[in-house]
Amino acid sequence: MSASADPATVALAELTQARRRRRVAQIDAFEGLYRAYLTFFVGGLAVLLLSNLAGGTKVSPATLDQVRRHGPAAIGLAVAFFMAIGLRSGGRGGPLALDKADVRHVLLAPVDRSVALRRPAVHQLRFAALTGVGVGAVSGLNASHRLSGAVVGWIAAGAVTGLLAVVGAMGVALVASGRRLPRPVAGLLALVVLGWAGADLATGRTTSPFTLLGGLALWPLAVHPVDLLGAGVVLALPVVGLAGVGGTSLEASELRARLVGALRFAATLQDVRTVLVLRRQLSQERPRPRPWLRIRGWKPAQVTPRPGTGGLAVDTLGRGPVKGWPPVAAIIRRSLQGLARWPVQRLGRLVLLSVGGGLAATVVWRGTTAMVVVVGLCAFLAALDAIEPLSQDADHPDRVFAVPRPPGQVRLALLVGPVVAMVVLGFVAIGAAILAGAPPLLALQVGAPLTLPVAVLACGGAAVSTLLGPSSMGSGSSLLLPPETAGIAVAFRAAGPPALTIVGVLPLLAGRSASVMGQSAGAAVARTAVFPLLTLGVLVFAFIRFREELRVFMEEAKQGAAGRKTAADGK
Amino acid sequence: MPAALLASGLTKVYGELVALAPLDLAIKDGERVVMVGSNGSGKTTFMRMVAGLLEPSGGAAGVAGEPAGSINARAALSYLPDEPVLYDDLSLAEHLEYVARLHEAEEWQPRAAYLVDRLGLSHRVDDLPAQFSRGLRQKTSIALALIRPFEVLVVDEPFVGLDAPGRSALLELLDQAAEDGATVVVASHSVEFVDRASRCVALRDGELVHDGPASQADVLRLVS
Repeated sequence: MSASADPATVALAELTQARRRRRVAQIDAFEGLYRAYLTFFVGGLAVLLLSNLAGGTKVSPATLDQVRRHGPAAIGLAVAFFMAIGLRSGGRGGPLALDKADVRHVLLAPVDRSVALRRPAVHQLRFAALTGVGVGAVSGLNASHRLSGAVVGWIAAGAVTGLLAVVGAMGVALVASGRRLPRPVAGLLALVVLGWAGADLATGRTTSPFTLLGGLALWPLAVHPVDLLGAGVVLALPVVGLAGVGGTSLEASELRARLVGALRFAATLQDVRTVLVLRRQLSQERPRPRPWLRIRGWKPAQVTPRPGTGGLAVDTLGRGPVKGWPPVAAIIRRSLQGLARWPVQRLGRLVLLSVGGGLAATVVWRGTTAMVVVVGLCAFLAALDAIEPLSQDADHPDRVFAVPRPPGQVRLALLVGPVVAMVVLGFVAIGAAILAGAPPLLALQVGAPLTLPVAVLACGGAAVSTLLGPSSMGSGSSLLLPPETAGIAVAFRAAGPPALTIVGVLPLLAGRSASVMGQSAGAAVARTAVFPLLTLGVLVFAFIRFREELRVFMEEAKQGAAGRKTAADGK
Repeated sequence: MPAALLASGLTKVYGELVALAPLDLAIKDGERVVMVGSNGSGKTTFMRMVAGLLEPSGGAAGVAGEPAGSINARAALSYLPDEPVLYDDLSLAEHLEYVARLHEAEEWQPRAAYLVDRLGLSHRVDDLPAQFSRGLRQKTSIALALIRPFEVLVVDEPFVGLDAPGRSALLELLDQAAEDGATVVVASHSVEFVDRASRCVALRDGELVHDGPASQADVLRLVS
């Protein structure tokens, strides 16, 4: 610390050092070693699984030529997507996530905010860089299985590209938040960035730095020194961002400090619904005050209150036992009213997920089997948004438990609207596959029979995930299990619902095999999709319908067993 | 005729903490009861158990002769919670229509118009209540509790966040519910409902400390 530094800055530095020393002192050596062991265990397993995603067959010379011609722009579009996310985050005051106490005490103190914020910014950049290197290296390893060139070269190229993409995205977010770009401007710039990279892909030209960066990822195939220009442009972003980080809005920092902490906690618990809700709050995503489509309903103007008609519905004589299903039409109407208020961000996200799913399906068709996971995950993530009416009832059980009907009946009826929405999104995915070069008739023959089963399984899986809530690891009987076993149980619970959706996509592989053998792909997909998958869907929906009754039954059985044990102990 | 609300040895325990000690209480049909007690006395715990939202640790609760939380009990009891529970994506009008139809209310449209008018919400029916102020959300919650058919109305701290016209409208609506024959149970720190109640039930640290008529002065003494 220089002698000329002001006392507040010196105090901040000393406080930061003291907190770091305390954190380090609090780490137990054995716990630290155990954490390292778990990290290596999980990390090693992940690398082992992910490194063979692409399969082992080398691509044909024609495909290799296509990769050489279109690969840089395609990778550039992916990099541009990261940049767009960075711009969007920066427009909302991201990417910094500070401690609430730091926002209140440090940022309100007479300390230069650039100094106060630079350290956490560098910290986050460092972590993002490590993630980028890891993901990039694994992607490079996968590429080496299918493309010619040295494995080490592919890993290095992937790592460098991953590093630059992530650091660039963080950098552009810092620039946007430090310069306080208004949200619409940041959104517009994100669209420009995506459009520029997309134009390169469509025209086959290299005009954007992102395409140059994409070229860097393919250096094992062909080295073009000009690609370094792209790296230079992207690397400049974090430098500019760090220089202007002091301009970050205090209001945005406070909001993010509150929500990001809760978001991380929910993510730790694998509480998917809470993560989704907090993420929406973070991006200020609210239902539209005016619906896209007004579904005709009650309006007070239609009925003028008259004396004698405003009495309350007090029925002291009783209406007899309640029987039958709840008014399904009213519940379906409620879910459609909810869908009609989807904010534009959610609509855009769902369309993007559908397009992503459609594009991944074309990659599956061309031989990369593992991409069925991506197709399934896209559908599952879309369904998590689509089942919002049911999720709101799960968030506030007061409402659904006030209805004089089994909650499962209400929940099932709430899924009708989302399933219809998911079928429509399925056709968006088919459209994307056609735009990506799939023959239209084949895409329809293969895709159309899949839309309903995938919609049913995706909504069913998402509903199961929401209703089950976070796993109970760390409580009850799970405390008696060793971490590896408990971890696998938790992973199974977390992976089960999305796995249901992935199962829904598997008929695509049957269609591909039939096509290779010269048989009708559409017939093969329909045969494997409709009956088995809809049966599975019915089972999932039956679980949703009877889950509450099952829970009560299990609870009573547990209490009964405990009572018998007490009685036996007493004898 | 069975009691409108019946608690037999009703208990709620969280680990070492006794939220409600075994409580025996019978509230007759058509009674107006005010439930008082300081924070943590067990009022909300009692109300959430009779509404079927909390499972008792011991004993049982009944609503109009049905076990609390059963389908028929849910049809008979309308619970207005202390914290408004609203959907993010439905307007006020859509909320009223959904809840009324879900409970198969008949002739609910005039009642809905009356409620929004009486609570001063007529100009906000197309807006999303989730984005309302605390007071307006409370008024929405009151309208939702009263739009559906009920025999027993259980209301937890209903005056919180309400302005003077809102408090007056609520008192009038509670009177109307009682005059129409409903059993009305109101938990409150405020003494506004005391003079309208025929009976006062006071809880302290989860135990029943008073059950009978009470004046405002008695209530203030019991709550302090």
